[in-house]
Amino acid sequence: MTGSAVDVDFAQLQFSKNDWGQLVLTLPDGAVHAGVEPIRCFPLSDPDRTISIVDADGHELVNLPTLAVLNPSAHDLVHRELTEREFMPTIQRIVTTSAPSPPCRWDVETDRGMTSFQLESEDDIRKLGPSGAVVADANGIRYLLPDINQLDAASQRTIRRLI
Amino acid sequence: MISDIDELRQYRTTLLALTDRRIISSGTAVNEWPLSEVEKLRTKDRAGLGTLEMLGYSRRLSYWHYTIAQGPAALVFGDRFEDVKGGHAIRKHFDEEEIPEGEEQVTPPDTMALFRLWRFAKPHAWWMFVAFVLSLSATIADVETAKMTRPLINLLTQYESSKISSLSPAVYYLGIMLGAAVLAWVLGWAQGAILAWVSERVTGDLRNKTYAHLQKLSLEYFGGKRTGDLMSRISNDSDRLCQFLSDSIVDFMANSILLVVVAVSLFQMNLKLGVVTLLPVPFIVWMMYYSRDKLQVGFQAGSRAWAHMTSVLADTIPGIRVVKAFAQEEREIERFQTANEAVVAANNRVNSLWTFFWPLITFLNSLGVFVVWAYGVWLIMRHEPDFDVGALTTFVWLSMKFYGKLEMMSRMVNASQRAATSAQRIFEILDRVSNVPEPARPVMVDKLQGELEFRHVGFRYGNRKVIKDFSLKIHAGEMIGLVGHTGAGKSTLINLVCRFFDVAEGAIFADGVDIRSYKVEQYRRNVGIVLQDPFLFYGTISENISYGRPDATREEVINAAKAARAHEFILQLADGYDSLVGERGQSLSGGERQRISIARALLIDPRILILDEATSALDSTTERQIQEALQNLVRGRTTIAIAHRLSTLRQANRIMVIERGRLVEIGTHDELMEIDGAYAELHRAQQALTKDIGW
Repeated sequence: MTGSAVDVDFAQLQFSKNDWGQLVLTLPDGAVHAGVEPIRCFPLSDPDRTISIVDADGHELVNLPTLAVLNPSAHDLVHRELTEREFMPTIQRIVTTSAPSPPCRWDVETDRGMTSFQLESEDDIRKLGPSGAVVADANGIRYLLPDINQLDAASQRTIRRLI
Repeated sequence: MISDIDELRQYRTTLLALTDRRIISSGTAVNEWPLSEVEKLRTKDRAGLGTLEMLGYSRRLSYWHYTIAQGPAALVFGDRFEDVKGGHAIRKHFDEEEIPEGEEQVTPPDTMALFRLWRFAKPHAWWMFVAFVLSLSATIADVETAKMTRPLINLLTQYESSKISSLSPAVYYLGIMLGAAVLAWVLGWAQGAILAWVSERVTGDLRNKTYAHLQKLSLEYFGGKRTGDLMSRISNDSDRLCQFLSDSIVDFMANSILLVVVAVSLFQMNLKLGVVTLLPVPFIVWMMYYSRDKLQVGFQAGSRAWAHMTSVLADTIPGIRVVKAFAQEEREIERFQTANEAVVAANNRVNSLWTFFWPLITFLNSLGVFVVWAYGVWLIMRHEPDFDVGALTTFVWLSMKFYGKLEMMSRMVNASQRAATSAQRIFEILDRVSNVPEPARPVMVDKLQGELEFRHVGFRYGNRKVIKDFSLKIHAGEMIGLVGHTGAGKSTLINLVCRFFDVAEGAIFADGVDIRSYKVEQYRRNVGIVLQDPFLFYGTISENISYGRPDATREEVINAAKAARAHEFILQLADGYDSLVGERGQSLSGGERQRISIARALLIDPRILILDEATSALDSTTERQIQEALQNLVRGRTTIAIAHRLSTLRQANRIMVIERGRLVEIGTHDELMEIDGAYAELHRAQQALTKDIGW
């Protein structure tokens, strides 16, 4: 049986950081769990809801409906932890592609700066909702395209040919 | 029943009848035996020949042979005999006539298949008519232009021989010619656009309809079909039809009318020359007919060969692991090559026919034009009245048009045969009748209680009887373990409960109502099934879990996953519940996939749950986790669980043992051990095995 505590007063949850840089959760009953991890259940389709806090062994301790149920200090800590463990740059512009269709190299402008990656096959581009997409490169790093319609015309053409 | 083969293995009919007192046979002579002398009837079948033996108490009384077609009747005959002999009142058998017999089909004649397309074209009939009118106007404009040549040529010859000094009327004729060409272009463009749209729509509808129909057919149909063949019918054949509809059909009609129009104007201009012009036509038409029949056979062979090739692909690509594991790549390449060569050979046969007929028809067409020239020269030589160079030019032009169209039509013979073959293959699917029919007056049900009762259920595959007189009552919420050797009929029983097939005899009742009275869809919504090797579709994990209830909320999905012990491993995946699984997706272990399929079954909250060896493919640690998950699933539901490992049936309220389609033992584990029968034996065997290999 997992320790999925259902009836927890979320505002009572205490989070802190220990000297090892681990996130520590103190439950209302006083139990302390070091090295807990926040995980989004639906990181792509609904990232802001149903966030699970699991212990170091991967067992779920709490399942938060949203981060907003936490008290402000806990909210900040968990939010920071989430952003630290996630790396999914958002593509803002596709600068050039080495070939019109995969396998090819893409030079892109992201919210984290310029980068370039190898796209192995068109199967690595996955549609997300009506107009979004996620692109996975050869190393498994994913790049987000929240809304294709917001891109410039050339980038749109590149991506639409592939999905 | 009818015995259709006599003792000497000759085809001869003998009628057998069973009454409540005797058995009567009526062949060359009439014989009868009182029931009191007959101990039992025994059926055997061997290589298609069945034998019904009538055994007395001390010797065999008689025997009859029958072909496989009579097999089911012989089995029924035997059953009825036992009913009567056993002193039971003849129990009410459900009229087998009520249930449509198998998925039968009527093959329609070839060319008729094309006419049947009308049903799909009908909604667009108006547009097709517009296209037809456009096509007709374009060709008539063409013919009218041809008539301009006579005055134009005559004008030119007169100018050349200085009879007139001005060529200004020529501008008028040239203008008409140019105008007609432009008109033909515009009309052709409009017609093409309309037809392309209509034909794409018609074939789109046809594909949808065929696929929808295919989904409704029973499992039995899919069991007997090659996946690749079905796929090629829906994708390839419908595409071919689309091409035919857009390119050929309206043109064909318009051209036939044009041929008549041209022929009439030829006759009007000069009767004799008209007759000469049309002289080779009957021969060409005969040739077209002849080649059509030849081609028909060729195209069918081609389609079959193509379907066979797709089957090889559909077979080996999903089975690539097995191919590689046994290092059979070379053999598979060879298998594909053989299939591919068959396609090439079939197409070559058609092509060689075609390449022979095609130039021949072209030659005959040119010959037709040549005859006009020759006859025209002769007429002018003889100074025929009312015939000049201009008239000859018009004639030549018209006859060229005529033969050009005829040539086009003969090309269409090719296209139409190809399309007829395709249409036939598609209608073959559409003509199937599902053998799990919807009731005429269904009993509506939302949630069942889950009480199940089998009453004298029988089922057979062809001649082989798999379930015999099976009766059992299962209370709502009870868990029944189902045990038996491979081939004992366990899976068949479950297929019957799921209504993948319908019973042949007796009936299954859910909540006291024959399950055939419910709507198939409503009934199945109450049945959850977890298979040994769960199939996940390409999509996200949350989509797979909510497959049976796409409207489920995220919370419900998570709760189902938690109950199925899947939540935590899902969280460890990179995209959580948004991770892709299934074909091309993230690869999950057998246990993980099994837990997702349990969550899927949990989410629909079924009243009747089927576990078909849900844990037998897993290692024991995983099995324990899944057992936990299953405990959540089983609670409060009527459950039938098949298992090889008896230990997995600990929680079962009752365990039943099936042998050769019959219920032999039923009771709790302890009761069955007490009886010391088949179950106890199985149990001991497994215990010994456990000790040996340390399970």
